[in-house]
Amino acid sequence: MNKNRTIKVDYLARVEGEGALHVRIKNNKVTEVKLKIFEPPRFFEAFLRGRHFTEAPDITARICGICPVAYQMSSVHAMETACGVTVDGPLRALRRLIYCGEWIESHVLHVFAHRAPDFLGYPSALEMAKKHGDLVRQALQLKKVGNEIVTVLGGREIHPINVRVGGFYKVPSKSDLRPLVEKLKWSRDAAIESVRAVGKLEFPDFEQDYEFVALRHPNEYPFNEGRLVSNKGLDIAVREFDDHFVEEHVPYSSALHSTRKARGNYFVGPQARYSLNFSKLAPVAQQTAREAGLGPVCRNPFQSIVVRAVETLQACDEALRIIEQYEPPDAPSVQVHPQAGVGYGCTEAPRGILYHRYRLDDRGMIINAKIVPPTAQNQKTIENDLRHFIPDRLSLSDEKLKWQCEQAIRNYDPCISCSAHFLKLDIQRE
Amino acid sequence: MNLSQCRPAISTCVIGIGNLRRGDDGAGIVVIRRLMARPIPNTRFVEAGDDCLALIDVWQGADFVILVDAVCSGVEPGTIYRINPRSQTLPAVFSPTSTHCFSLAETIELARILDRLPPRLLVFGIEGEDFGLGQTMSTRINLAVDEVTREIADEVAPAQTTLTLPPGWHDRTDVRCWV
Repeated sequence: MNKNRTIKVDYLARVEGEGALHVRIKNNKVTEVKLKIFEPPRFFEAFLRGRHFTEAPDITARICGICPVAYQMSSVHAMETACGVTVDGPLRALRRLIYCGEWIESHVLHVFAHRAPDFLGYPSALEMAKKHGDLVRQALQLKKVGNEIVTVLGGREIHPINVRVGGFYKVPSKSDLRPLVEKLKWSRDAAIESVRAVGKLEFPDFEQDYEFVALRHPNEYPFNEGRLVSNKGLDIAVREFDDHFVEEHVPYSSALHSTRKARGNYFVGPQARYSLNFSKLAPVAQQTAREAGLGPVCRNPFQSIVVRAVETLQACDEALRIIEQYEPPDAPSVQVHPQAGVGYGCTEAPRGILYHRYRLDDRGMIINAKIVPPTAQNQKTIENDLRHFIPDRLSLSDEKLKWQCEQAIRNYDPCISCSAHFLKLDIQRE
Repeated sequence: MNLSQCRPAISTCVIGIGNLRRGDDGAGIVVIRRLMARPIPNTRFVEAGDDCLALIDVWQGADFVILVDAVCSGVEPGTIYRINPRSQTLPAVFSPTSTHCFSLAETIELARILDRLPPRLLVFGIEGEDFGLGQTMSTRINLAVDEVTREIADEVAPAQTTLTLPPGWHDRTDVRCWV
């Protein structure tokens, strides 16, 4: 095998958005790894300036068609903290419920359409469906239940239109939610089967000493609130985010790279949430995870497919619990009066923490905005994984090496559309 | 006679795919809105965005499904493709411009594999000219949209059973929109 070689894949498939990977190998050493995000900058933070604080949920939801609920949730929480309002009771529960729907939609798509074909040796979900039709049928049905939750609460399954600062424009009646109960009971069983199925896959032996960062709440598996914690000593309120994390521009990416100040790269997403919050999972999720071979901490990014299946189960179980306990609130939203100040919001998008910060004037007009999406935060960790992953695989042919690198990237389910604000793979061996 | 006995055996679902805010990409949606200008009994109209995977559920139960989408294949703008995917694979022009959604071609192939294709399926493609952000539909595409609307109306109308409906029963036209 040539010690210096160039391998090039133009577009990495089955990730969200457009980007590329460039790897240079010289004398059998990886000398350069660049995750290049060339999706054009989106300028959403600039669009938000001069807009009313009530517009942020609907404007930011347009950043992503996969996780619009996450953008709505982080923005409403930021606006509410700026205005000194807390939303609790049934409205808070409904926010968790719509988030359950989005996690189910996003995770099921990733597990079965994006990632399972890699492990089962198929080039695409279509090819996989020819041999594993029942698996794909079940996944489509499971995803549909996620869609239905988002539709019932949000008005439609993509870019929901019913979320507002202070709550919702309209809340469902108990009878609106009732039809979901039987579907969710089926979904919970299907999700258990999914965890068992993906737990049997074979994973490369690859673990790293990551700094996981996620929300932690005293009583719940995190969706909307909690403190930002890590396994390396971080424990801060959301409003302290900017004191501990910094974004920097790199010339080859239209997405800013995030690092933890004075420490470096960190890891957000399902694996971080799981590893920092295992004890907060529902008992059925904990038990099923253990049966699938996962411990309370998961450091192998290739097992993230199992973690996502566990979180799908968690979301189905949580959605069912919320619906069974639901009593409609007296009003669909609480009143929020604007006041000058800064608001901070951070919620757990399917791919990890999504941070929003807004400065408002006394009329509630947005003076400036900052949005830090999960994939931007994971870019350096993805590059770092590849630096450690490639050296043991240099004997592979270029084609096989490319395919394995793509898989190492897909572990993160990167959402390039969000982060740019993907994927061309270019490996140079010199 | 109860309502279920009134319903004709044939049900039709016409689905327009596209984004009205992307110029000619909205052609499929405009076709749907023009067709809805006059009631067509027992026909369901659907406006769809770019995640075609959901369509497998949308068309479930329909005996005849018609899909309309804008395409970009490099031929003369306004060119109309008319394809029966039950007898041929959808050409590459219906493949994705995005890496993160199932394209129409992939969705139809997945439905074929899972045995979830409707009994009758017809796909219209309208070659677009300008897919720019915030642009209105081009004039040439407008004419093609008229032509496709006529062709679909001709397809759908003969498919309907003539019925005398009971008082108060209105023909069902559902519209779902996630553009």
